[in-house]
Amino acid sequence: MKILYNGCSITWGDELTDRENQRYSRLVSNHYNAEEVNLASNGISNDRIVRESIAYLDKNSVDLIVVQFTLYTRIEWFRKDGSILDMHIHQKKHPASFYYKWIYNDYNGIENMWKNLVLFDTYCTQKRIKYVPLLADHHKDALQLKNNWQKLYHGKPLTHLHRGILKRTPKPHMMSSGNIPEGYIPENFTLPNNHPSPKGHKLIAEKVIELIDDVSVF
Amino acid sequence: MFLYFNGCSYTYGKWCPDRENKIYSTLVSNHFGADHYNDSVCASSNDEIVERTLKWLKDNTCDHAIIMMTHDGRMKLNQRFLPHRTGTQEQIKLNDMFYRNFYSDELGATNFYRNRYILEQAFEKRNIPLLLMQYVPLPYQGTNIWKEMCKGDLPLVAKTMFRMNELSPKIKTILGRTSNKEYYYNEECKQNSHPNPKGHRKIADFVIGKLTPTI
Repeated sequence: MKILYNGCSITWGDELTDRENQRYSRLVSNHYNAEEVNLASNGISNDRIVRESIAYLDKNSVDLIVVQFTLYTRIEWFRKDGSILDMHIHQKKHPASFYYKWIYNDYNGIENMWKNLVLFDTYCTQKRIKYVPLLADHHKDALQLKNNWQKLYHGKPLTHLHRGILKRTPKPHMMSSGNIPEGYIPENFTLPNNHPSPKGHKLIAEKVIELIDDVSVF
Repeated sequence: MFLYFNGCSYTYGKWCPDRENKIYSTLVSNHFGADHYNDSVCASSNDEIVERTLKWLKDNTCDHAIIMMTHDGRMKLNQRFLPHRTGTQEQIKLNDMFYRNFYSDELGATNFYRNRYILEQAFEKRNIPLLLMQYVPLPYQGTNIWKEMCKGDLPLVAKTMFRMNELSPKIKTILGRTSNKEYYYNEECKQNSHPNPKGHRKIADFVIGKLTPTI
């Protein structure tokens, strides 16, 4: 059995002391005695998560993919030399500074997220690949803004990591600045930079196992 | 039989005199005695063409779809970005900044093939035959995952002097260069920017030739 995981720093296991053993992908794979392939990277965009997942799935066979979608504000950008950059709203340098000042708005970002979801669902449906979609929602509620692409998504419902599994509402002061205020006490399930703690990863793993059992893969 | 058409101003029939009767969607539909819906909008980006198509497919179906994808350089972001935008001074200024500071041919090609892949998958999923065409050749000739997953090269419709690359002279297109008055010159606008009735006839003949063996 082989399970593919992809996502941002949450799935990568950022802030954990023993990342490879404490992250939810390892816990889920251990539960099923399955091979774990974790493609996640820190700070990546949904564009890249979908692109790299499909590139992998097209050349490799897996029994299931757990795909964790990330902040909709991030976007993949191609430099003129062909190299690729994942842009964040907090990056101060060009091209992010230009993009977020002049080009980006939330409607645009959320639309791109749903377009990626439609694309990924269509691919998996066509190839008969089972998948479990998770959504990191530690900054903004991605479902606040309605748009055309959301209406076109007919895939599995998104399971919310922070508002759903971790039962954690983002602090208002963290929503836009991304700064951690002095004296901030992390909750049990998240670490100071908002990534899940070992307990948080356990909770996520339990939910993912429940979701996998629901799609009846094993 | 019901045919669905989508695209930019070429499929809309901009500048074509007696547009509703002379554009290629009408000519193709008349040839097959079919009903049709032309969903095209002038100056659309591929993002908008794909979005409109999927929105239409949500509640409708057709026997065949004919879609002409547009410039890879057009993108729908917080406004519609077009390589040669007209509009308010603010829109033009932002547009120029976008192409100067942000846009690259690879970005355009990635977006083009991602949109194309979504379209191909949407029709395959519904088992509806799709004839895709491409307005002009892409300047970026490298590859990406979406290009690899799309189904081969598309028939090309035109060659423009704008964004011409070294491959263009060798590439065959249905109508050839837009400097060719035979297929492009329109009296109404006194310029060669969009197909005239003869150009639409030529595109229609091409589409009819492709559809006939499958009907």
